[in-house]
Amino acid sequence: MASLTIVCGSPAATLAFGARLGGLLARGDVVALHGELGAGKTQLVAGIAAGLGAPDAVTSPTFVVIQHYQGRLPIHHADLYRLDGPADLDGIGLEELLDGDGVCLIEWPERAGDRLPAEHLVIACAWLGPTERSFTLRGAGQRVERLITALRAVER
Amino acid sequence: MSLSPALRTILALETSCDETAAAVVRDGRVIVSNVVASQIDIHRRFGGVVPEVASRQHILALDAVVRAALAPLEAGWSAIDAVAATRGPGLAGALLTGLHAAKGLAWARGLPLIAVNHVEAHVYASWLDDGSGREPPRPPLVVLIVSGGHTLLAHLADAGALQVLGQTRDDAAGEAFDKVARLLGLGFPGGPAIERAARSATGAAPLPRAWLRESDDFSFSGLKTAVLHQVRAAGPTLDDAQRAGLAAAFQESVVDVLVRKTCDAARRLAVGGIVLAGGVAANQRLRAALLAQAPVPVWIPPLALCTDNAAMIAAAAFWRQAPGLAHGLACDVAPTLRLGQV
Repeated sequence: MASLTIVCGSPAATLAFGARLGGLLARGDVVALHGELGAGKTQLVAGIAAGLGAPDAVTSPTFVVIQHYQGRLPIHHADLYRLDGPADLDGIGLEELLDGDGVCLIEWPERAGDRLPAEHLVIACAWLGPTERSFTLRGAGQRVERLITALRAVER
Repeated sequence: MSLSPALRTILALETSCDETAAAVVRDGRVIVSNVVASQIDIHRRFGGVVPEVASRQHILALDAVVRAALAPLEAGWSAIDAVAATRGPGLAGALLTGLHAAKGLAWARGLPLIAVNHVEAHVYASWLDDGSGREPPRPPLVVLIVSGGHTLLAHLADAGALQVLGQTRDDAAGEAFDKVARLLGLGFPGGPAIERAARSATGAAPLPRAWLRESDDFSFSGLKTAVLHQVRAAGPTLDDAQRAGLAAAFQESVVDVLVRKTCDAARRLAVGGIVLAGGVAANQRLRAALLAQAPVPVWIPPLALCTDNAAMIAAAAFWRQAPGLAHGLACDVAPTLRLGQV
């Protein structure tokens, strides 16, 4: 399984890394963002959306569960924190989006159980210090491994 | 604002989040009934609102809530001129229950249906008669809407013409309260929990404020991260006194930014008043600071009209009729409806 860890020393660096990742994403990609409150998940998503060319500011999806943005691809940003478990997914229409024509960025993906597609990019976000965050990317499958390889070349 | 003579008495339903509410309001001002069935105890164990659970609770509660709202009317249904309901923003499934109940009622009674923007409706809570005898606010106004899902500053130049000046770039103010309460282990809902903890604080180092001086926008994510940093630094030794101090410092930071930016906008736009709306308006520190610092008169609805309720939906439906607001029975919910859209 491919893996890559990126350390960002500031919110701006997190945005820039997210933007580079966003530039590489393609139709149908699913990104699962793990990490505690304040680990940099939403900040990273803001960068990814910018990298996908979305003009609107990314705001927290916690209240409405899913926010939608339009870049060069449709972007669906979900926060599953408030869900009790996979059964609640039926109420928010996530499965249609996972099979759809855009990119899905999912915070608190553990709430979805095994309902995410087998091949998806996992990003473990971690708090290192007041402004430092680390992002460890991993995942199985051809598409995810190609993505990590491409990103490794960019980040070097 | 001119009175619309046609649809004077409105039955409204509100189910955008975790309160099932129905109300009857006359002339956009007189509350005939205002019924709210809260789900807060059901959601407390999850530390948030669970969309599917919320929808099911609305379905269970709606019939009784609507009956209770109609009960004070001697003439019953014949006194109702229109049915209104929230169409967004909010949780899709929750919105569907109320909007479709309203459609059914409108269809069965042959009444017009008026679909309402929930965030805009928070503003019109200040037009409701609270028994104080005070006249409602008159545009032009600056409006601060602060709730679990929204933080925005708007300019109400004239009736119905609500223009967004700025909004949060990350977390809503109420959401920041919920998340910081979670970080501090203070429980849900976060607003009252933080306010309670802050009251016992005996002094705390101030936390940063995000001014974003070039705009009327807000940002609370950095403040949340600052609290996280202090919680991490304290580790397992974090005690109740430190929790109270952090809660107080966090609350001061949020209130300071909200109040100063609102007052600055009121001066810049030379408006005649400020309206505070939304669930976070229940915060006593915010109310006191705004009243103390505002350069113009301030309208703040009573607590029961700040949190989600259907009386404000009825008021918004009434005051927005003039610009033309009839929806057919085919209208859909709009979970991500923005201010300015109806």
